[in-house]
Amino acid sequence: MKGIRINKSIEIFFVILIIIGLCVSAVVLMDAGKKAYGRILDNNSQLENARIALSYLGMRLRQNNSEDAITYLPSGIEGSDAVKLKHTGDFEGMVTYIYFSKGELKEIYTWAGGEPDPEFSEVVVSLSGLDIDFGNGYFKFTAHYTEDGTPRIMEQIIGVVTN
Amino acid sequence: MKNLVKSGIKSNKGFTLVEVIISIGFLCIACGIIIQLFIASGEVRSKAALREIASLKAANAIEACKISDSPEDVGKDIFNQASTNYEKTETGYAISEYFDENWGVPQQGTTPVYVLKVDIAEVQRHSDLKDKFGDNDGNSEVFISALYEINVTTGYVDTGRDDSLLAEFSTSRHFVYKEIGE
Repeated sequence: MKGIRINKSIEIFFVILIIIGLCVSAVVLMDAGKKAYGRILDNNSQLENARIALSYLGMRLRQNNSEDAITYLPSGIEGSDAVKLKHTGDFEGMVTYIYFSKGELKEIYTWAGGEPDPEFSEVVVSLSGLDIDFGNGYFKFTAHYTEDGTPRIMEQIIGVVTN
Repeated sequence: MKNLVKSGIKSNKGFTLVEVIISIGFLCIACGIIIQLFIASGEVRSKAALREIASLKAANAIEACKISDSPEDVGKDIFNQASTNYEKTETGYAISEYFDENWGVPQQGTTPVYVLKVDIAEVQRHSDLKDKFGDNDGNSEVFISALYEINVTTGYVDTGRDDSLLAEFSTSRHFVYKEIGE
């Protein structure tokens, strides 16, 4: 009778040990899953934002791609390179400035004669970095993002009619 | 029923070690399946990101074709000349730009992972206009007006893979350019 009781106690001890081990590994697994999922979401969001920025720039340039409508302004606004789009049709007399500053792609919609005021800028999307280059009849936009902490770039080429 | 209630609810019997081990075994199998799904979703995400970059590279190549003056000059400003091959074909040009695993310029001695191929083929010649005066060296200039089919593909260098093709775009462009003749 005493032997059976000792055996039962050992069995209960092992059951408790296994359950504790299971609980600890479940917590560790959940924490690792949470971190991995957070990393995936962060990577996705950075890639998505870089893509949004390039799509936005591509769309705006193609919409306004007519003679003398697109101008490249090196260090144009807040010390950053900018693109100036002159509107036509119903929006004649208005211009849009697009530039990257302080981790955000911004645009300023203003009168053609006025100076662009960064206070009235609107944020298009936040991203790690964006370079705007112009030469030989095309714009080259380079969006920067990180994937698992590794810096990456995404480039887009847009040919324009004139500068 | 009374017996069941007595034996079930009022019983102080716990799980035996074997029962616990079996249930943990089932739990581990279920966890394994869930982790596999999680890994698969990560792979799908990576492939989608890869295809997105491949599409962008192909779209840039199409844009390079649009802004070039002649089929010979396609991508001369845009493609990295250190990792690009230009080859004259029977009907046009075949251009290949090579990339490493991070879509950068492959280091010397390393095998490139991705390749962007641009095939420019003349499909219809409209005119061959010879300038009767020629240039200062006595060579005549031939103005060519022709329609070209442009096919751009981005994929793995290793064509044996099932997923070797990542992106493909086609377009056509009418080029008018001049060639110096004898």
